[in-house]
Amino acid sequence: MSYATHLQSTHDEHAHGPAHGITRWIFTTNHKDIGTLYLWFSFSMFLIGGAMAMLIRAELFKPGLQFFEPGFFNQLTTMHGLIMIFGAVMPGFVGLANWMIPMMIGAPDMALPRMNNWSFWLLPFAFTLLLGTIFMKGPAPDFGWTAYAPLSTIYGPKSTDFFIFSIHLMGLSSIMGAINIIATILNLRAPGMTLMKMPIFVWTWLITAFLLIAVMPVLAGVVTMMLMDRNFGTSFFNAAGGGDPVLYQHVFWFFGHPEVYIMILPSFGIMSEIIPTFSRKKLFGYTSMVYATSSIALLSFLVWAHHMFTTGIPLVGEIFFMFVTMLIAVPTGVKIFNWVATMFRGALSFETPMLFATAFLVLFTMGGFSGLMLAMVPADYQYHDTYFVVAHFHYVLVPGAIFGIIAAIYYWLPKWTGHLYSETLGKIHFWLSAISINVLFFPMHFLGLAGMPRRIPDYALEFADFNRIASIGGFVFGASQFLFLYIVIKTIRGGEKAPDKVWEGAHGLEWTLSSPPPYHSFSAPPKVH
Amino acid sequence: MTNLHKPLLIKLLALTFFMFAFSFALIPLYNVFCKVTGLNGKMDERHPLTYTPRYKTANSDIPSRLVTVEFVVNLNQQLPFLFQAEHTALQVIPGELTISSYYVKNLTNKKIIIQAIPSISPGIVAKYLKKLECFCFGKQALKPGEEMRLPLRFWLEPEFPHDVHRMTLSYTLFDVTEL
Repeated sequence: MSYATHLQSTHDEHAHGPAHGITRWIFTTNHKDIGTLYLWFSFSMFLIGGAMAMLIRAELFKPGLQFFEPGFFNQLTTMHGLIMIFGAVMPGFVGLANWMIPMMIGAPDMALPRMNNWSFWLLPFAFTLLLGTIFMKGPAPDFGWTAYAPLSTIYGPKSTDFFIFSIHLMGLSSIMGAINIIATILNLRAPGMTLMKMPIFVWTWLITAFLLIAVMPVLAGVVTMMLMDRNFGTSFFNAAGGGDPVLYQHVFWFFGHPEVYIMILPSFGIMSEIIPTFSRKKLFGYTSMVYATSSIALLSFLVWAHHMFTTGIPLVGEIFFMFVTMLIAVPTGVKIFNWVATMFRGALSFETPMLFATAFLVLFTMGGFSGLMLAMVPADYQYHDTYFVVAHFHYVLVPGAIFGIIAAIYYWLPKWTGHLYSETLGKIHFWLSAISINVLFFPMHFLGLAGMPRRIPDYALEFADFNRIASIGGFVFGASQFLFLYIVIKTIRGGEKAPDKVWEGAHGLEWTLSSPPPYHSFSAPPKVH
Repeated sequence: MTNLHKPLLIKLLALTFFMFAFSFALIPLYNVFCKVTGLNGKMDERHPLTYTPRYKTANSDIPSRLVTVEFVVNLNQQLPFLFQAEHTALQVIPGELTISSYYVKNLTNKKIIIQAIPSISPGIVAKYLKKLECFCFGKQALKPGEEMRLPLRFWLEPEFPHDVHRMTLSYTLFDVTEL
């Protein structure tokens, strides 16, 4: 692909520049402003959810109850999960989509800018509702992020209703964001930018957006049923009235499994941008990447019961869900193979984004393998609800989703700000994060295999050593993220001037714009050959 | 909004509403699926059924065999009731009508309406258990201190799987006074 680059000269920055003061951010309809809002929101939630993780690791530093009552520990694990999933990872990816998709497909802005503003501004209200429950009389939601009935219905604290409404708001925000992204991608591509010429990041986001539209309404539905069971005397999940608590798990995981791909597909897209750039080669197997991503998305609707192997589902069901789950390893393997093949005999250089991408490749694959172990029904009976599961999903979410977002920020930050970040500090941040994350999560595999249950504030003495190691890794990982914050702020405030094409091997329309790009990206569509 | 986006927007919103409705449609789908296949220990609770003694299946010469049916009782949420099964276990010949009963007593000084919810393990045999009469078909109101004998008449279909020799029929008693 090559792009015509004569467009910035037609742009009049004075007439269309941002408004000043706080109203710029409240009333903005600009995709870059909204992207920035999303990213800062995501980072603040990352710190809040991270602070909760630090408290959890502090409590687990040694056996016995140190700081909290078990009830408060349950609130911490619940809130940590909800905030990281709905507050940090999902808005982080939407922020990247807002910033990058119009610039990557040659559009002036998102398709529905006012709806874009609304979908962001719902989030602070949603999380105020959710976080507010901590300060209310009575416990905050304490049933785990999965909110299984009857823990959330009959036994749920009063604050559960706040949790339900905050989930509704988050769902609305995600659905509107997804509609906007689909409309932008399908309607606003520059002439010549056919679907099969789109950058893979755009492709993965298109598929993610469809997943969001398909499953966020199901989550809204299931929490609505919960609300009705709690307040309006229905019995969706109450056995006494003819309902079934296991049904909650089925409906929840029908949402929940596609949700885990919502949290990883955009990261796959980011890797498919970064790895070719620093390998100075074209992405290996572009078409197979597109089909692999689509197959993962379709298969994600057929595997939900692998979260429920121990609920007594019949053998034939267990076998079906086991094999379909293992089948997902095939398209995922295709993607891993393609990234490795892209790097193979490339002119590699390891700047910070590439370091995070390489760590993603190795550590996400490990998380994938422990996922395969969990997919095996007989083994899952041993691993279910142990720290092995905690190790597995943190390996796919932290080096998967979070490293993806961090890599993307390092990769595009010079483009956004017009300044180069400090490569030395970036590398220190990478090594601190990459080492501490393994110190944090790797021992959890052993804890789980030895039988330590998850969501428990106290544990048997034989688990003490590995827990202490994990806690130390956790504290280092948590502290290193302040270095990241410092690097980002330092880069925004100044630094060496970034060229338009920041990375030597980069391809894509975003690099044809100035650094920082004009307030409205492409007022006239570029030509894509 | 320009006309460019309107048709797409309508389709995407329709998909959103469809999926919201679909999440509610999953409830009857799940119940029908479980009843038809007998998964999850759910029984077809249609009644009354008529019982015709049938000891042989068309393609089986085995006249009779014994299946151990264990009776388990549970009280939900520490319901202050006495709830006992007449038998802890019975040897049952598939095809033969079996009669058992339960004893229940209200230990509170309030009138309480109860509902018994059955569950069967292994779930796969649920569709071979047929109930002619069961207290779980309806609710019972018990006055303070009142006791009651609750009847149960059932049979196992002759097609009952040959590799299952032992099954559990469990009843959990729920307080549905306020439901």
